[in-house]
Formats: sequence, structure tokens, C-alpha cells
Amino acid sequence: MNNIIEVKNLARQFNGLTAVDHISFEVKKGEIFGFLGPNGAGKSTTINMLSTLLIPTEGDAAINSFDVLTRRDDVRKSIGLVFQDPSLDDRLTAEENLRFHAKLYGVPKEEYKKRMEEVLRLVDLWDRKENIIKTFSGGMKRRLEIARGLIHYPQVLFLDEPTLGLDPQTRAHLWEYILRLKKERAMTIFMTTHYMNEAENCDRIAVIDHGKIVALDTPANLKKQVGGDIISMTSNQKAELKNELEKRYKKEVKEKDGFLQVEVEDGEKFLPRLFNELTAKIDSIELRKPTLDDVFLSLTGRAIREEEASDKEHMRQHMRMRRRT
Amino acid sequence: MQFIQTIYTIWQREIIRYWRDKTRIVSTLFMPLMFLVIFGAGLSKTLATGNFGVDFTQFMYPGIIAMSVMSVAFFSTISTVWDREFGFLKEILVAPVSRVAVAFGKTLGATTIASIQALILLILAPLIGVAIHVAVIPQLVIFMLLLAFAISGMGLLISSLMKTTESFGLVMQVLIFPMFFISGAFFPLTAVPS
Repeated sequence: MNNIIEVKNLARQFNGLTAVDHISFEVKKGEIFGFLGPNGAGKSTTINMLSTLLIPTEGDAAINSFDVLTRRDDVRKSIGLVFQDPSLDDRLTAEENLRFHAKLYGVPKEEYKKRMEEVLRLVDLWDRKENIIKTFSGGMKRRLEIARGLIHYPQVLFLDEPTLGLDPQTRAHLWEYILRLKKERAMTIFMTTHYMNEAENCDRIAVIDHGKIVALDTPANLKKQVGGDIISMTSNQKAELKNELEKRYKKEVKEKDGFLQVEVEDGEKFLPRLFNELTAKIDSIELRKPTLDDVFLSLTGRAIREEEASDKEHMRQHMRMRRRT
Repeated sequence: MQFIQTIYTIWQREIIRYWRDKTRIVSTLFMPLMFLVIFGAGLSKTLATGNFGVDFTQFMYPGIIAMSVMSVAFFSTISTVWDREFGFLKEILVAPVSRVAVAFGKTLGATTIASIQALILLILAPLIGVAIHVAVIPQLVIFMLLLAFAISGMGLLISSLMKTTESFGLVMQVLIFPMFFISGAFFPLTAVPS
């Protein structure tokens, strides 16, 4: 029972179009697992299947060792969900939204008060609990949705593009909460994103493209696949420096815009060595790590583009398709 | 017990939403009274030539109440379409609760709202000059509740199939108006070809 989510050969077609193409993966208890991919790659479809909203065309999936097809209510009790599109009742107050949720999930009355305060304080909305949702900003709504997803103490929290459409500051805050949840509750978090810098916070990432998982590893390992760290230097003793780098470290030195560039495997360890041993003078030095953007680019040959407007479009399409089935 | 609690929770939300929307309360009350005034004034003149036997307002008022129950009950089930459009339906659908309980909660919510509306109209009756015998009030209430429940159920069935509030509004008109007019609320049905 080390794996809280187990997915085998899961596939989903919409009118002959394959949205999710026979994917398999496991998520361990207590980890933040990220689904990274461009819009339309099949991220939301996968979440919908795992959360029993959508029936898979093929394959098996189990959450908390409950099958998503045969033990739906047990699966539903085990998970908390934060959808891509807002799903609060904006005519109710924050507290009423939480109470509605808690009652549907059978949270005992005595417990509810305590938990409500706990989750609202976690997302810093305790003093807004009597306010109608209509008056909330986008970021506050998101935070409340996370609080709502937590009030029944789920085993797994699903976050579908949790920071979509939020400003950078709110986004950073939200991440603080997510990381705190992992630390304090040892909660398993399954999230989708198409923001590369966010995916870096995950313990493991599955890169998904055209419904297929093209890579699955820790962010660090994924980046290692692409190549080493890049060190750029300037110096007024360029020739000596170049010579030294080539002779002593056997590195291939590239010259670019007046900078000397070398690729090394482990930049953090290489830099101190370089400073100790180098005789040529360096004026400035910069260490650049490969980003997940580079990873995605090298895996698929394309860069992820952010298309927020069409994202919603896509979701709607999925919703419509889902209803037809 | 979770079954009952689900019904109650869904029902309670419908009532809270109704109560917060004062415009809706006022306008749904205003509509039947407006019908009464307009039709009452217009039709009582034209129908006065016939041998009616009773005062036209007296004849029409029960029909107005029934009509109001029908339209309010039907309209209240629009909340399901709203929930779908605004994403709240997903919140309900991923909850570990019985779908039957959800449908019951929604139907009872609309039933309650329509019944409240009907009760208000019933209380207003003496003020408008409609005489209602005390003995028939329990019967009236029972029929109001039954009608409200039946129409709410039908409304929910339709709203669960609709994707947008616009289409729901249209379907509602198409279904509700024929029912109004052939119900006999506005004119005696004796003239209708059999």
C-alpha cells in the first residue's frame, strides 16, 4: 500500500479522438505528483477519470486501492478536488460553501466547526468567512476551493491547474499553502499545470503530450537528461581562460556574445573547484541550470505555450462531450 | 441517514439562494397579480355577455395561484442549469452521495419555493376580494403541494438535459403556456371542442 494512485493502461476517446492514450503510472503516498503538458494534452481528462467524473474507455485506475469504476463512492470520499474552472456557489458565503461540502461528505457536526476554522486559517480566509463569494477575488476563490477540498480530510488532493489566471503574487502564496500541506499533513497531491516553473515544485513529474506520457521522473533527473549546467564567463584574459578550461578540465568552450560558455554536469560543485584552481582572472560568472522548458522542448520538439483563453474553451468542450456519453 | 442529510443539504441551499434574491421574490409575486388585473379587467368585460354565474376574479383566482405555482416551480429548477454553467454541479457530482437524494433535494427545493409563493397569494385573496371558504383551504394546500412537486419534477428532468439557461427558458415557455391556456384558468373550458 505504498502507492495511493495506480493507473494501468488508462485510455479515453471522445468521438474517435484519443484524449488519453493508454497511460500507466503510480503515485506514492505523500508526494506531489505533477502532470505537465500543453493545453489539450489530456491532463484534465485524466483527472476527470480519476475523480469518477468520466468513465475511461479502457484501462484500470485505483485510488487508495479503490477501483474508480466499481468503488466510486469510496474513491470520492478519498479525494479532494480543485477544478480548473471555479466551482463555488457565489451567492453563498464562504462558510456556507464549506458547510454544504462538509455535509455532503458526512463530516460530523462537532468536527465541522473545528475543521472549518482550521482550513480557513490555513488559507487565510478566516476573517472573511461571513462574506458572500461574489465579493471575493479570483485568488481568494481559489484558496477557498482548496480549503473546501481539504475539509473532509481527503487522502489525495487533486489540483487541476490551480494557479491558472492568478497573478504572480497569489500564485506564490498558493504554492506556500500547497507545500505546507505536504509538509504538515503528508498529503498526496496530484496536480496538473502547464507552467514550467511550477512543475519544479513537484516531487515527480509526468510530461504528457498528445495523451501519452513521454517522460516520468523527478524534475532534477528530467533536467539531467537534457544536458548539463551552463556556465558563462567574461574575462579580460579570455585567451588564457579559454586555454586553461580546455586543457585542465577538458571542456569544450563556446564563445557567444563575448561570453565563454562551458557545459558541466554538476555546476554547484564545479564552480568552487574552478575558483580554487583557476589562474586566469574572471570578471563575471553565471551558472544557468536547464529548465523544464528545455526538457519539454527536447522531448517533444515544441515549446509549451500558454494559451489561457483557449484553455477554458477546451474544458467546455470536454464537459459537453462528457455529457453526451 | 446520509440520504436524508443530502436531501436536506441540497434543499437548504436552494432556499438560501431564493431568500437572498429579493428581485426574484418580488417579480414572481408581481406576475400573477398583474395577470389578474390585466386579464381580469379585459376578459371580464368581453365574457360578461356569457352566462358566467360568478364574479370573474373569483373564477380566475384559483387558476392564477395554480399558474403561479407552475411557473415558479418550473423556473426554480433552472438552478440546475445554472449550477452546470457555473461549475457548481461538478462539486455536487464528485460528492460521495446518492444521485437520487440530489434529485429529491432539488425537486423539494423548487416545491418549497413554489408553495411559499402560493401561500402568499392565498393569504392575499381576501384583500383582493376573493372569498375562500375556510373548509377548502386544507384541500387547496394539498393540491398546491402536489402540483408544485409534480411540476418541479418535470422541470428538473428538463433542466438536467439543458446546457444553457437560454434554451431552458425557451423550453419552459413552450411547455408552460399551453398548459396555462388549456387548463381552464382564464376561461371556462366548455367552449373547447371535444
